[in-house]
Amino acid sequence: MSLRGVTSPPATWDDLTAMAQKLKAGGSKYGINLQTNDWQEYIPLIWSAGGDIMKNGKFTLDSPEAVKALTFYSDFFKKGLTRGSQPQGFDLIQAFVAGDDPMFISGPWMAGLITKAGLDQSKWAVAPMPKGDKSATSFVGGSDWVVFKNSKNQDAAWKFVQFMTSKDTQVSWYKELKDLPSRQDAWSDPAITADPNLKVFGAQLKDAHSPPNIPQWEEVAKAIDDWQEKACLNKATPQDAAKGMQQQATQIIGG
Amino acid sequence: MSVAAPVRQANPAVAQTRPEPSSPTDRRRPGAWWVYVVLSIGLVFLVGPFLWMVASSVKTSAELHHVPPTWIPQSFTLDNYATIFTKLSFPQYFINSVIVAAIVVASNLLFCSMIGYALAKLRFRGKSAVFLIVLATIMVPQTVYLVPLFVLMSNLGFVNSYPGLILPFAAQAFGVFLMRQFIQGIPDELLEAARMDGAGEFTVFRRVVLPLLGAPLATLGILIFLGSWNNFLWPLIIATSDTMYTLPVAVATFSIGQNAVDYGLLMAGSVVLIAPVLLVFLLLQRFVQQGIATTGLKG
Amino acid sequence: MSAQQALVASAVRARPAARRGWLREALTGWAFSAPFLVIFLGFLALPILASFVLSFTDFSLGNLVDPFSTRFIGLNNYAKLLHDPKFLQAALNTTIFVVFGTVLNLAVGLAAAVALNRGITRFRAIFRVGYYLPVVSSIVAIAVVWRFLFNADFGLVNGLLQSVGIKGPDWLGNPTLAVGIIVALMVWRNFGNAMIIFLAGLQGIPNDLYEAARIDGANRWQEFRSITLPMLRPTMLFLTVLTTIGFLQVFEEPFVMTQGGPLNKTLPISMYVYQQGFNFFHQGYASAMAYTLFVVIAAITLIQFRLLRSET
Repeated sequence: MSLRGVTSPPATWDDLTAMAQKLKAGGSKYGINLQTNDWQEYIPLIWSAGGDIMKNGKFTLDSPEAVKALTFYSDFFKKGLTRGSQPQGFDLIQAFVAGDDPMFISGPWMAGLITKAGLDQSKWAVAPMPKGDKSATSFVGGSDWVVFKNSKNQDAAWKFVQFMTSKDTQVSWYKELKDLPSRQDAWSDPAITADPNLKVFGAQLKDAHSPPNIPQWEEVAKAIDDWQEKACLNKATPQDAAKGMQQQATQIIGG
Repeated sequence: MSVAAPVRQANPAVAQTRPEPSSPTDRRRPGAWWVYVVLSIGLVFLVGPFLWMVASSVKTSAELHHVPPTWIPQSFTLDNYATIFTKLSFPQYFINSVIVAAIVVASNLLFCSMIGYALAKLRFRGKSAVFLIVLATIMVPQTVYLVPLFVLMSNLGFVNSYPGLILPFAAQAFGVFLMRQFIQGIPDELLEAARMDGAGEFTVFRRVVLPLLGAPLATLGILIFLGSWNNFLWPLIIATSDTMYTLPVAVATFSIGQNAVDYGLLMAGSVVLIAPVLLVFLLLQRFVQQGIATTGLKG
Repeated sequence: MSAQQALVASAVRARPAARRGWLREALTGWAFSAPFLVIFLGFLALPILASFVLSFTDFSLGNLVDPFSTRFIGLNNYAKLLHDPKFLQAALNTTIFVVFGTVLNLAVGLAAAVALNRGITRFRAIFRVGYYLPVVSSIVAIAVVWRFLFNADFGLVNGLLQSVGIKGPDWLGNPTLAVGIIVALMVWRNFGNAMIIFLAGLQGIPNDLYEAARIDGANRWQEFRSITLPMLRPTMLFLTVLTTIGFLQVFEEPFVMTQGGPLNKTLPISMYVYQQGFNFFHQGYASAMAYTLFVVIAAITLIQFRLLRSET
């Protein structure tokens, strides 16, 4: 990263654009890797701009903050700073290691893959999300443990959940699979504190949101993906795309 | 594409199955050289991707990503095959594909010939209704019944199991059509003669009809085998854990995975997926092409 | 029923002793049909029927546990289809696939068949087998290879273009090109079937016709236009029906190559049914969509059959 005049991670949205431009001008194929149709990369920007997906049971996908976020996001495509498309089976790690896509937004599991691909740690680093108008919020996903109401083994199931969410189990789980522990006290374990990349993720976790907990989320997410793609490929203005997201999402939940 | 045709209307031209020898006029006009050239170029386009698949499966990851791409492998490694058979569960997937295909073929050969015999040679009320219903389902797209079928399997406890993979394909309408067509051509006198000798219907079926069904049974068996081996959509739906994946599902799942994709492994997996089918086809293609030509069905 | 059968039938009715034979034959008929029918009715006919019923309900994820809690909503699902932009896009996509795919499939199949039948005299088997290979291969393996071949960065196609100085486009990232590639894949994979059927049709054309034409001084192209094409009309109609029915249901090619994108321009109806039914669990709606497709298929089949019947 010290090549091409970049010496520190981007602190704000403008910094991110500038960095991407510098990297591309310096010879990389692209400045950053973003997807045309992945809400997980776009939605955090809404949060950072001060908006949200839902408020009081109604969607707010066409708020001014959302439009600002979508404009910022789609500009990368319009300026040619990122790929226009990623075919199935696109190998991001390979592209990153080769320097074609020198920046990307992702999670801790990628760190191991990059090292496995042979890139020395001195050549790359992890940085927190750049700050929008309000914050530098990221996206956190994962899995939820559920005990069914009609289950015949509720006690056993609950015991299992307790086991899986205990500190020791979470640390072992991390060691095996590199999934971040959900228990805060697990983060103090040496296996985790030893990894410098993980520190960044840990800090970011303090400001990370999840999508709303509604049963139709998958369908809403796909609608967001579709409109996001239209905005990025210049088939719709960010305003129209945000409106489209709002309309379709509202319709899906029957509102 | 998996299509079967309803009853063919009269077209004597297509009813012939035996390929005619070169017509006499050809002796006077041998093939124009440019036709050979065009056909050969076409062949390159058709067979090329397969060769590319095999060549890529023995290249190293580095060579696969080399720009510009290489044709003939510069490196040679069997690592890809080793990995899929040891680290990934390809032996399991292969076995699943084999078991499912074997049982599906066997059950179709037996049951379709039985009902084909009944529809062709026995008289019973409701016969035409049965045949029409079976025929009508050939036109129904798969997507129509996938959902209720899954619900049914779920209630029967067959999700992610062999019965779940096998049962929907154990009785295929196309097979009935094919068998009935051929059995109709068997002279009634043969059956009568056996009956007069005191044979029960099942014996008649077993001793007289079945032996005459060699060619159509071979054709049906191969076509059903091909369909089952390549079947992708239903196994994708019904196999919820990878222990029950068949080969196509395994290769497809690995190819649209989220993380870094290893093209070498993918190519090796694809070769394993295609090889048995190509082998069967190359050895027995005569039956396949005859069967297709006669009834103009299934691909 | 033929006259013979009618005679036998009336004779049978007249004598009680023979009626026992009739019963025995009927029982045997059903006995032989039973194994097939049990599986067929249970795992095919029943779901087809259930799907029809489902299409008039709002069956979705919550109803899986308690199927009877679903509500009847009449034709609402069908009406919803007409206002669903994604469905209309999928219908348009499917139409494009079918029209271009069928025409090309038949054209290439015919060309190959004619070339093999009359254009060459040797190596027929090699070409016939080679041209048929894609038909029997797994679409998954083929799509994986094609994706690799058309990869914008290190695929062979762009590599070859590069070597003659052309910068190859992003084949699958461009909506129009992606549609073209899917159609090309559909044709590449299926024309072998058309070729085989045309070959059989060609071999049924009597040689005297060609003899007569040659005596009259016709060249090959004239032979093709005045003899081959007219004689093949029934075969062509038949293949059109077949190919259309098959291509209306196209699923695997777009599913493995592009997942319906970009911009949902390669999303066929079957895949949208799959998305609605298995990604979003709107099974009532998905069923309505599937049945609409079925009706279209049935209609096209019947129309083309009428045409076929009037030809022969």
